[in-house]
Amino acid sequence: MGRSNAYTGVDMVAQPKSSQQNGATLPIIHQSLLILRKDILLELRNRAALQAILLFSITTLIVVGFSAGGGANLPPDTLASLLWIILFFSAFSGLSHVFIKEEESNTAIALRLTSEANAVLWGKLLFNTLLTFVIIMIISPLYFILLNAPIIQPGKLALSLLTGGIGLSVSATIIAVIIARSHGKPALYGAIGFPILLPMLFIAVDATRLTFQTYSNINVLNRDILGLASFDVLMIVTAGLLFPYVWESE
Amino acid sequence: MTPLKLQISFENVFKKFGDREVIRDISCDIQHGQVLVVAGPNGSGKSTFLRIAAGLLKPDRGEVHISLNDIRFDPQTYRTQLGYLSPDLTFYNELSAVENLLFFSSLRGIRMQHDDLASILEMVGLRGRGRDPVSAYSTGMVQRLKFAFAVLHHPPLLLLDEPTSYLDESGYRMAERIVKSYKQNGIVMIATNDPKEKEWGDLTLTLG
Repeated sequence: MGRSNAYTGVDMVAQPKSSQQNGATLPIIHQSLLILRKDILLELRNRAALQAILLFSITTLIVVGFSAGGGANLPPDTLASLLWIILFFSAFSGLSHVFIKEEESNTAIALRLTSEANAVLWGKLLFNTLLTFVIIMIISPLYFILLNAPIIQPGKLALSLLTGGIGLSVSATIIAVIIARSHGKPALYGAIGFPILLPMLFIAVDATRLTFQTYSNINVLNRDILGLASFDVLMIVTAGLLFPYVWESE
Repeated sequence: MTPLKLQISFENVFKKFGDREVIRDISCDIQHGQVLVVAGPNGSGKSTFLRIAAGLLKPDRGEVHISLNDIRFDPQTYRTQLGYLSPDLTFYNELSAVENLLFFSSLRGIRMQHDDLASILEMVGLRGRGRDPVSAYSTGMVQRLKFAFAVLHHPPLLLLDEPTSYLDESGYRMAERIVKSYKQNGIVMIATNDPKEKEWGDLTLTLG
């Protein structure tokens, strides 16, 4: 996505010698990484999203673990469903924050003035994906311990969590920007996200269930993981096409 | 080095929000070296006009063109090159002024050194306060930081919406110096109802 810019190299008013001003647009990948770095720094300083997510997820985990009596005799499909319920609601409680805060605090204006739309998308997406992986890495081991969930196929389990996690973060990101830019109520976030994510959740639960079983159909498991990966690609492409219009909307 | 020649033209620009017509078929040309003051009563569309010029809003009808040495851009394409200041522009409160300026200048592809930052902060009257979080700033200090944000990349087109809001006398003089300096090398557009700010203009566009 190239643009011409005749301003390159022109000295307007006296500049300090040490500054470098090229007037050309920084590549999108560099802008994305700068935005990612900024969001990580902000999150480390105020921990708003992380605290919301961890509070919800750990509380839910403890309640579920306690209620389920340590997971004894819970069938694999129940174990898989409970895990993804916790991950879904944990993610959705915190992943919208990344855009809603920009709009509510009006910092989106400065971002729009200084960066390409797609750079904002990829930067935010990378942040939300990172946050989702942090959640999965904290919640999943605790879940398996508290509920005595059997990990029969750890590699495939990791793959289902990875692909499912990406699907969660991409979907949450694009829905968050739609809600934020339309100044809609945050309560709509879940209402819009649920039907979009439902197919992915079914597949993720099925794949996870199969990884808890000793004798599972490997073809079905592979199909499920491929399905999750396909959903991820679909959502990433949709986000890439949709985001610039939503970001620039009034 | 080729001298820069900037021109911005508005052709029958029309904008409405819902049923309310805010900007009605405005046409004007602003030439290099001019300051345009956009005046009018509250709600007359001054800020909207500047946002259209900045590429933050699109007109419902009409066109806006920015011409730099006879190369034409639309505002959305040129947006990252211009300087903009408005009441609703904000920064990241958890970051310091220096961190905010470094972040936004990096996004623009500008590598700011320590001396550059010190120089900018001194110019806007925030010397020694660069490491403080923006959350600790007064509204006047935030306004000064907005000036730093608007000019740190030396834009040829400077758009200022109520530039001296919350500024004291020294801040007012700072704003005036910046307008006069940038006028010499480009175009400045100011949305205001302040009588003193109106005196800075070469042209006046009255809305409403």
